[in-house]
Amino acid sequence: MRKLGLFLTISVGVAVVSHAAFVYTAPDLAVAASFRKLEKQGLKPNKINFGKPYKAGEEYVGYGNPDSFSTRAIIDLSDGPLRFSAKIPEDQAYWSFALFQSDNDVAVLYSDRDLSSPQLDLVIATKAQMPSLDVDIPIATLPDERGYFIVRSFPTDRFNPKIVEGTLKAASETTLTILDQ
Amino acid sequence: MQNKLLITLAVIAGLALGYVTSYLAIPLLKLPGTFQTVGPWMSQTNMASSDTDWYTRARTARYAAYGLPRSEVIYFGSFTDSKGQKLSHKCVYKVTIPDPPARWWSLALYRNGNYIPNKDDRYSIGATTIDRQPGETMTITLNADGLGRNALALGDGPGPFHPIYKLYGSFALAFRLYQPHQEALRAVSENMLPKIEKMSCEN
Repeated sequence: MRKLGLFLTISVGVAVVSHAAFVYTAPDLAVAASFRKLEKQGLKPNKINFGKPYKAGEEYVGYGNPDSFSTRAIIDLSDGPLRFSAKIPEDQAYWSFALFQSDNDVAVLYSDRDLSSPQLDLVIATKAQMPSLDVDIPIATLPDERGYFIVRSFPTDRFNPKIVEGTLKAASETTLTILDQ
Repeated sequence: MQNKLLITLAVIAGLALGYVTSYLAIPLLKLPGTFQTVGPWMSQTNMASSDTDWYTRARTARYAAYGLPRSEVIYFGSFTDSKGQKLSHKCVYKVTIPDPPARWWSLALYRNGNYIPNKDDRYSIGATTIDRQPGETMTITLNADGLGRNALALGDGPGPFHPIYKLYGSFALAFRLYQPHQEALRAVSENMLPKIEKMSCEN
């Protein structure tokens, strides 16, 4: 009877602590799994991927928005801060840049409404890399060396070839490079 | 010796129990105030934010990673019509869009998280693609082939034995409000969201 009590006390105590630990670390684990999947699909860290939205049957879209032309990259700051530049194409119903931390929290978000010109330039760095930076553009910080960004472009009409061409051209001019100070 | 074995087994059992309960709790446990139901529409009250609870953060990262915060987009999903009946590809629906309190909106169709194949590759209609005369009420028709003005295709359906069809109906709707106005951020009411009416069904 005493042994059963000991067994239950220990197992329930460990269960409570491990439950909390599994839930708390779930965002980091989910993002790490997502990065592994993206890398298997060919998305290398710090290499930009852009393209048209998928068509039905091409890829599992997981309730993704069919209107979104997405430009994205896994961020790896282990070789130093990165400089990001993007042009905002014309004829967009909505445009945004979102930088996600390795736990899926949004670190920085800019939409076309926040910008005074159709161009976004910023530096992405860890908090530890901040003191060495001397730049005259905004700095987006991540708590660690890994992150992810998505630029979402929503053309006013994704069936208009001219608007789509302009959207893709602007996306293709997005750059992500090691910061050269 | 016996005590060591007992403690080891208790720790293993505890870890297993902690893992299983967390695995189940992340999708199922919705703490008060973290999930909103307005008519047929459901919405999580926040997406990617450190100030939300652990379960919401875990659920968002696992099932809707890289979503935008509610101040930027409010995401709504529906598996039923406005009378609470499961959505079926064998029916025709009229979706009436009010004047949504946001900079831009879109209504999209999904089957099991995927787009529904159709000849025009049209899976959504939004604020800038809806055909609308000034003063006219915005309506979108959901029918088998997506034929007609402002229509989206429901396709052939997932097959009668598909588990999703049995549980949730044969398609789902997503309604998104981009850069919602303050009134929507304060409280979303039923009259801000689309009304989904079943018009007719195949026998």
